[in-house]
Amino acid sequence: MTGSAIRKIAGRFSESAIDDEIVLMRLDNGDFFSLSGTSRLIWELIDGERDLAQIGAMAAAQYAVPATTIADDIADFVSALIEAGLVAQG
Amino acid sequence: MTLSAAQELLAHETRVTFGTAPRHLDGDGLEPSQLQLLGDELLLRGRGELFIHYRKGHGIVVDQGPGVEEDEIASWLNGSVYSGVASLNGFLPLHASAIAHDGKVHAFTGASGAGKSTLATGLGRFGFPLFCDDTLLIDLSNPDQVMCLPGHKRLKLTQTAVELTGATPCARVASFIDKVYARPLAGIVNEPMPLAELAFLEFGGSRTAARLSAGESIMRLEDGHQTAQIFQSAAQIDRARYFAARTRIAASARMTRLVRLADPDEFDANLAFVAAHITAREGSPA
Repeated sequence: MTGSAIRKIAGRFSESAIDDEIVLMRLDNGDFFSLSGTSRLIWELIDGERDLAQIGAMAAAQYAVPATTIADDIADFVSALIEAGLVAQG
Repeated sequence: MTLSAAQELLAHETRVTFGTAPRHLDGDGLEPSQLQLLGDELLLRGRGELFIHYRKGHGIVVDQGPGVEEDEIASWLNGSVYSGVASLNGFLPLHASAIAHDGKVHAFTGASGAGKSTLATGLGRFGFPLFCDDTLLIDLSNPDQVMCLPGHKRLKLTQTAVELTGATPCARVASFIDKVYARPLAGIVNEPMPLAELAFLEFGGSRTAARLSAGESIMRLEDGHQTAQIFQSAAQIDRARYFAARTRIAASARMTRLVRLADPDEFDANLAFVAAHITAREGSPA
């Protein structure tokens, strides 16, 4: 899952930021998702232009750790977002 | 829309006359105890030959057939019809009872039997006036503040709740409802107020009052009670708008998971715990 930009699927969900949390709801089935901490950061870094490596690098910089340290976790999380139908790649 | 205008609107729309009501809104007859919403209209069939019809701008018409008790009419008017009329006029009803403290509303919601009315009644012993029982109307028309409209002033309690709270029982709610009306112990509130806290009531092994996350709050606000179903049908609201409404409420006030002990012998201590929780938050942000 490298190279292609990660994008949020427009019209698929509603989003609301409350305190330190982002809450998402899929509009077709009502499923809820709550993002905070690192998951929220990654979600906010998904802009339709950045690929997984770029998102990983920016997240790593935020936490002042080598990108390789968190690369697998970020990939797993983005995969989960894809599986949840919230984002797509390419 | 000013809040006083909201109260006037609701009073106007819930005015009741007796007359002839339709038997259906879309060609299909209603079963007993069924409520139908279509466009700007509501039609409810009671347990027998009672039909209650509302059309926006025209108030409520009660068609009282033979054998229909006055108590049953009042029960429907104060329950499902009230929620439906409020929903058709842009208010969001929550299945909750509430008290007032320091100019703000502290509401209690939960499944039937969770003790909403009992708790609101008992808190009167600590001087908290009743804001509403059973249905709390939320006014989201002000983008800067989520407001609550004061509601029904007669508590509906089981006999056990009457004994626990020390409330003075009045008439039975209806022959088919095993509850009585009771007067609030510390008076009532007649003015709209902002929402300070919405507590989701549970019984458990220890008394706790834990703040809920935004996500859990929003999920819990989507309860399966008929009040929420009435609102969604009346407002013809899609998921996105309903989600937006719930997030506004969750963002505007503290959302709390409030656990009390179920043993009736612990009721007084439960009340003291909740009262202390409410007053401890005085001046604290939502």
